[in-house]
Amino acid sequence: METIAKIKIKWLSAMNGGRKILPSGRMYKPTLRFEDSNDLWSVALFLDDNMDGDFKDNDIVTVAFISDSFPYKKLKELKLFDITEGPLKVAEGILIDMLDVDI
Amino acid sequence: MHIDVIDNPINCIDPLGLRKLDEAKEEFAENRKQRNEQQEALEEAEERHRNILVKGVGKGKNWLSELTGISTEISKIKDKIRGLDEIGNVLAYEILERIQFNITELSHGTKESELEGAWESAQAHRAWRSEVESYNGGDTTLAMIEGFMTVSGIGAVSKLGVHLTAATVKKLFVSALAKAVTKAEQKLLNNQLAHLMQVSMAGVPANMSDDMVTLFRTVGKSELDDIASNGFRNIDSQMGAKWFAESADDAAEWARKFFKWDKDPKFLIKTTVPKDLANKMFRNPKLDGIGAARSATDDILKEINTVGTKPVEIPTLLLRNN
Repeated sequence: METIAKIKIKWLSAMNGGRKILPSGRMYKPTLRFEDSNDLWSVALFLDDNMDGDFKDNDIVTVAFISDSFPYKKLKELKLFDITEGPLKVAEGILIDMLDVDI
Repeated sequence: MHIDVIDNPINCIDPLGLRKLDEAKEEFAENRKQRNEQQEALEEAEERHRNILVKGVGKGKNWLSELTGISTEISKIKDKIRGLDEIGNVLAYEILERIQFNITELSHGTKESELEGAWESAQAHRAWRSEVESYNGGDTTLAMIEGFMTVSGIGAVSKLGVHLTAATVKKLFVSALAKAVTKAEQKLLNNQLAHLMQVSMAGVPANMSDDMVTLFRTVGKSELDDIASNGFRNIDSQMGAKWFAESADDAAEWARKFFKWDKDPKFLIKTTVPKDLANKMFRNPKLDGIGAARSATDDILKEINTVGTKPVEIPTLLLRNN
C-alpha cells in the first residue's frame, strides 16, 4: 500500500515568482516544503484521468510521495505547503484528502 | 536457456517482452524461424527501451543457438568498442575482432560434445549468476554468458549505442577471453582500463578533483534526446530547475522511486563541472532522506553547457537494487 493525497494547487503568478507557463502533460515532479522547515520532499503530481489538458490553477490533483521518510503526520496537521522547483516557490498546495492505494 | 526481460534499471519485469521471448524459445526448431522471432523480440525490447537480461542455465548447445539470434547485438558492441579507439584503446577493438571471429567459428563448426564440457563448469556458472544478479540496470541489458566459448560480458544497449561498464570491458577482454589474449596484452589492457574503471563505476567519489565536481541526473528518454541535441536546458513547460545528485547511486535511487509512479524508463547521465559553478547551485544535503542534490536554474544550466564536461550517459549495470 502507498499513501497518496488529493490536493488543491494554487499557482503563483509569474509576477510573483511563479512559472511563466504551467506544466504541460499529465505529471509534474516538483518538491514540497512546509512553512516551518527548509526540508524539501520530492513528489509527483498527477492529473486524474477525468481531467482534460494540462495543469491549471485550482486543479485538484493526486500527489505521490517519493521519500520513504516523508512526514505524513505533518502534512495532515498543517494541510498547507509550498510547491517548489528547487528552492523556488511556484505554487501553494492545500490538502484535501489522504488515502492508501495499491499500485 | 532462460530469458528474463527486465523493464529498466528500476527492476521491473516487462511481461510483454518476456512472453515474446519465451514464445520465441518455445518455437525453437531446426529452421531459422526461431532466430528471426528472437531477433524481432530483441528489437522490440530495444525500441521500447527495455532491459534484456539473457541468462544461460542450459548447456552450451542451447546458448549457441541463442547467440546466433543476437548477432546484431554483438555487432553493436563491436561498434561501441570501435569508439573506444577515441580514447586510445585500440587493443580492445582488435581483441573484439577476435571475439567476433571466435563466435562465428563456434557457431558454425563446434561439435556439441565440445560445448557441453565447458558449460558444465558449475563453478563458473554460479559465479556468473551471482554477479549478474547483483547487477540491476541498463536501459537495455544484454548479458553474454561465459560458457563454451568463454565469452562473458554485459552491455547496455540503447539507441545511443552500446555501453559497456569498465568492469564488463575488463571482464570481456581480459578475464573471459584469457584464451585469446596474451599476458602482455592483458597487462596493457588492464592499464588502459584503469582509467575507465575509475570514471564509470557507480559509487565512485563524486569529486573527481579538488576543483571539479561530478554530478548525476536520471532522465527520461525525451530529456535524454534533448540533452544530446541541446545540452541541459529548461523548457518553459517543464521544471524551472533541474536536480542533480552527487552520486550515481543516489541518482539511481531517485530513479527507482519515481519509476514506481511514472513507469518511465530512466537513463543515468553525468557531467563534471567546476566546483565554483557547482557551488552556485542550491544544495540540499539530504534530499528525500536519500542524499545530497543540487538544483540548477536555467542560467546555471547554460553555464554547465559551456564549462562542464559533455553530458554522457553512463551504464547503470553496476548500480545495485536496494
